[in-house]
Amino acid sequence: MAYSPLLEARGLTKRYGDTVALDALDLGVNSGEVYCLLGANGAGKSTAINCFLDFVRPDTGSALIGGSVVADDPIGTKQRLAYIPETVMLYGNLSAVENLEYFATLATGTRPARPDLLKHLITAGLTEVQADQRVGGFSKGMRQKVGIAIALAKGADVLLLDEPTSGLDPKASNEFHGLLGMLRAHGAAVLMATHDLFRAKESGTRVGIMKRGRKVAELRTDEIGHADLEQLYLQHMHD
Amino acid sequence: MSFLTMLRFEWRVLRRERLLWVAVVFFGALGLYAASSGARFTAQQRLTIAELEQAHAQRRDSLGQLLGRLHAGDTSRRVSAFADPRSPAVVGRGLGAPYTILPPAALAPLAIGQRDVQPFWAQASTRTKQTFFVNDEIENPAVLVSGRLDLAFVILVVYPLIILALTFDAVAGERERGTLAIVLAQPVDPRRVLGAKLAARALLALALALGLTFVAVLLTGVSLGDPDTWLRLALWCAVIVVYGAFWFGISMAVNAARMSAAASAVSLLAAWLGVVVVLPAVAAAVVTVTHPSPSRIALTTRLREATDAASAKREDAMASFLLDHPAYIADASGGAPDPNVVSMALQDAAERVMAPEYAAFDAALDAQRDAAASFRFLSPALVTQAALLDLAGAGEARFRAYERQFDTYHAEWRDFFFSRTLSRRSLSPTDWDAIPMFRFAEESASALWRRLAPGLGMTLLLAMALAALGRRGLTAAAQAR
Amino acid sequence: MIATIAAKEFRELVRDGRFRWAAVVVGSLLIVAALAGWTAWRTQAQTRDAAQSTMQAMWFNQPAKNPHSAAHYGLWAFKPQMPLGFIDRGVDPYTGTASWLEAHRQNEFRFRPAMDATAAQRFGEWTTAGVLQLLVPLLIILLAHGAFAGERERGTLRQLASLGVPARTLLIGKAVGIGGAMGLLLVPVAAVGAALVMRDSGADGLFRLFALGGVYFAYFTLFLVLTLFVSARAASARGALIVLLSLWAWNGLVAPRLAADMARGVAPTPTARAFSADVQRSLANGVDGHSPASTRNRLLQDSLLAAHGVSHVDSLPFNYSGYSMQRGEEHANGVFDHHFGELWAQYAAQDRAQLAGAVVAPLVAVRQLSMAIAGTDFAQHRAFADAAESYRRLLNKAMNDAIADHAAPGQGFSYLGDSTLWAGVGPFEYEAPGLGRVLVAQAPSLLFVTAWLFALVVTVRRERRLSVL
Repeated sequence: MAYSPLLEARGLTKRYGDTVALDALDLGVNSGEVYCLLGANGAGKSTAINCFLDFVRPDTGSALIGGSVVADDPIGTKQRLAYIPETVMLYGNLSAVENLEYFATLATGTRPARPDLLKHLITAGLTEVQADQRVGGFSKGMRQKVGIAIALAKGADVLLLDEPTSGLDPKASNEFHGLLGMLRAHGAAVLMATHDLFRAKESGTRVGIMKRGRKVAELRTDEIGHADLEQLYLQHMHD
Repeated sequence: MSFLTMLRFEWRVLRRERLLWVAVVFFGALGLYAASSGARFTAQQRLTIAELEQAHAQRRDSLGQLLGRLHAGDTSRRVSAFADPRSPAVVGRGLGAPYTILPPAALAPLAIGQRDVQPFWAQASTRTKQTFFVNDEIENPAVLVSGRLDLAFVILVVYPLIILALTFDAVAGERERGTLAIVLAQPVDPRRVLGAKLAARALLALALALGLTFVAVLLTGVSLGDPDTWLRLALWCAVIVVYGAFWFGISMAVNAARMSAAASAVSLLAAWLGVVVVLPAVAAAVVTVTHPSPSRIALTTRLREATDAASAKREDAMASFLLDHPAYIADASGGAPDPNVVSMALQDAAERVMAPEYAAFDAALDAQRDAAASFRFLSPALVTQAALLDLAGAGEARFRAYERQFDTYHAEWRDFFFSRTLSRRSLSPTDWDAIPMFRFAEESASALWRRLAPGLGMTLLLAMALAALGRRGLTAAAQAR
Repeated sequence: MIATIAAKEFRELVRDGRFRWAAVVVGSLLIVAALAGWTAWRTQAQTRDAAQSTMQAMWFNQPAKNPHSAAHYGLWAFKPQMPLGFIDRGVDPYTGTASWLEAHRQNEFRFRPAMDATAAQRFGEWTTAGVLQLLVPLLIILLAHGAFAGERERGTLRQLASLGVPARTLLIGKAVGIGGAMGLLLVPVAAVGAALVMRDSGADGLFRLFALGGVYFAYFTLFLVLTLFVSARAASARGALIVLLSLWAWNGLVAPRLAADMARGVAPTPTARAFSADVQRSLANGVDGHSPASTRNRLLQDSLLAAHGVSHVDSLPFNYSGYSMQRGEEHANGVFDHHFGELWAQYAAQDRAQLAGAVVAPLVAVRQLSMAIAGTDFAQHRAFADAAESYRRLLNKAMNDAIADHAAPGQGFSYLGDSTLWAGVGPFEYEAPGLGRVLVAQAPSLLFVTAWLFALVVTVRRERRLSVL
């Protein structure tokens, strides 16, 4: 590779007792790429993402963001990443703008002006009215939009998505992937754990299939059809 | 991002929680009620004191006038022997005697403490000391059983509960709600974020407690003219800060222990029980068993026995008394001895027998108080209680000082009247003006500070150790899952 | 089905480390409090009994002296210790323990034990009753707050509901199971208490202990039902815990003090100084304030002289000094009855006002009952005070009558009484009111506790549906 990837795993290994959660995982995600991790529950997808967040320390190997090892500089590496879990949990008593203000200030160290915050929320697909509502009553999809707005506000170019579209209705899921495309077009590197083969094929540039902590296959989505991807996935699951 | 900004955000989140407002309103209302209760109690004491002083001034004036007339040779009015202001024995036994008053301290409205069971005035007399502190204030015992609701109680017992209620789920709650993961995905030191969360809540409780103190001081008419009062008030606030810091430290350590919110609530409650209930109970039980209160019943019986014995051997008592007071013999030229001198002799004989018993009684009481004082180091709650009560002049120390000053005064009083009785001198108007008066000398704030410092220091050290422990643990607690 | 649920609940609790720890702490506090209380109680009881017989002997062994001097010499009455006083000290630390019975004056009780204790002891001292009133309910809350809310959070409540277990059965089953676990802790403690009581006080003590046990059983049941009810209603175990702890702090720490303080406002008592000034004034001028001693004496003399048709008191068929002293004594008794009566009426009004606090905090009623059954409430203190005062009056009357009947005219103060006169009064004996009378007097408190239980049970019965989500 000519340039170093924004997001890189080098031999990531993590054991919990006798169980191997991650087994020498190698992967790299470049700017403008969406890398989808597929695999059964417990295959190690979330553990991999948690390693990039320093929520989990690998036993051996390392996770790198922009060339820096996460474990060595956990705070510095978080400056450019955004994290969107299945449900983006926010402070229910605060409005969307206030939540965004809080997280953006935490992320950048300075307090952004309200127009900027509003702009990000609107870009992420919320209306101005919704922006001032308390998020306690927000749906999963609306919360996700706030998550994207946080990414926009901090100018993140590394996105870690942990099953972001599970449980979203098709319309919300569609909107989310639209946003993802936008971020990608701006040069973000996205690592996404998902069960949705269809979306992985549509939005992803590459997919990696994981099983018992190992990456068992990796391929470019433009080289394979829907049916073939599903075939391949099931084949690996049956082995 | 500055710590202050984080505090502000935390405050914004907190402001919208109902629990907070319930806690604020409850704590505030309770504190205000407690302050008014202390103020009412103190006002009643002050009223009694004013009445006593007025009554004494009146009686002193009328007796002084009578004395002046009698001295000038006016015999138009017959004066009963029991009400003759010329007789040193009669006046010494209490005719028109001044009151020895323990006035409420400057910060008295802030704490009632032991004041509702300690007498705060007595009347001077040449009688034996045991007959004094009997002016118990009238109070329904059923009310005393409940204990007083004063600001010191609210700070001691409720203030920690408020700190704990506000902070118990600062970390676990975020983890359980899932917001912790989003926070920790930001480039900030988790210890600082979590520290700010806890601090915002604890500072709020602290502000409430301090605010209550100031409101109480303003509303209850504490006079702030004396710099000494300011110093005491500053110390009172320092005690609140240190005690709050201790509970904050406990909360931080528990928050760092990665428990669920419910488990953390139970642990904090256990800590509260341990510090506020169990340790003081252990201290009290140990002191009660090792240093039981000496029995006043036994002392009363012994005094009566000694007095009976002295009366039975009246001549012996008289003889030995006269041996000790040769000044009297020179005057006694035959005839029946002065009954006043006889009663002095009998009292003297009884007191000789009783002196060691009194000493043992006082020593036992002092030992009990000392033991209680050293056992206070067992729990920051006891340290804090002692400090708050001392600062408001509602604890043992001030009463003990009063008793000691009273003893000195009592000796002076006796000397004054006994010497005149022995030399058969009747009181002149000059003597009348020279009758010793009592004035309670307050302990200086710096002396008080020296007494409070070890306890406060211990609490502060504990607070810092707990906070350090918590700080180390918070990093681990920051792990989102 | 209830038995199955109860058994499961019981098994879970007994296996729970937290329960074991909490039970050990509360259990040892109970036992330590009982033993420490009992030791102190026995010492005090012995000291008191010894002192009382010494005092009585001193009275009987007086040398020949003027009966009025003897009345001034007087004797002390010491309050006896009640059989369950070590479990609940009640008002004893705050009422005096002794009263001097002398001529002319009804003295107040002196020597409040609380005066000699330190603030730390007052704050920290726990009697068995204190532990039962405050810590056991806390233990119940800790054990039972998650009974429904916790199961709901874990999702097991759905399972149970899908099996068709009715909410009420579940509630009763859980109550029985948790109650059983509490019994494991409390029954041994009760046995220790019974052994201590049996050793010193026999059957009467045991009856009282039984009644006391009944009151606390009701109190604990109340707390258990309340806890389960809140747990069933609460959204989460954490929410249930917060609500219950607030209720506990209110019931145990705040409300009783608040009720006491408000009661003082409802029926204020005079200051000690004002009271004694009033008494002095009435003694001098009569309760009506218009009959000074000189007038009273003149009227008495005149009427006596007229009635016996003589011109000088020395010609009366009895000694006038003795007679008039007794009349003076009776005048004073009227004054004391009036003023102490007023004071005690104020106390009673305060007690009623305080008991009204039981509407918002059952502990107020329970504490009242506990003190009453232990024999340490104010009513029983007053019963003793009244007995002591009657004895004082009897004593004074005997002394004055002796002078009136036997002294030569005008020789009232040189007449000497002897040991027959001293012994003629008989010893001071006091019998405390029996348990039945005490319980009748406590009907309002009993009513409050019953009403609380009833209200809770009704509320729970109306709770048909149990939210499983």
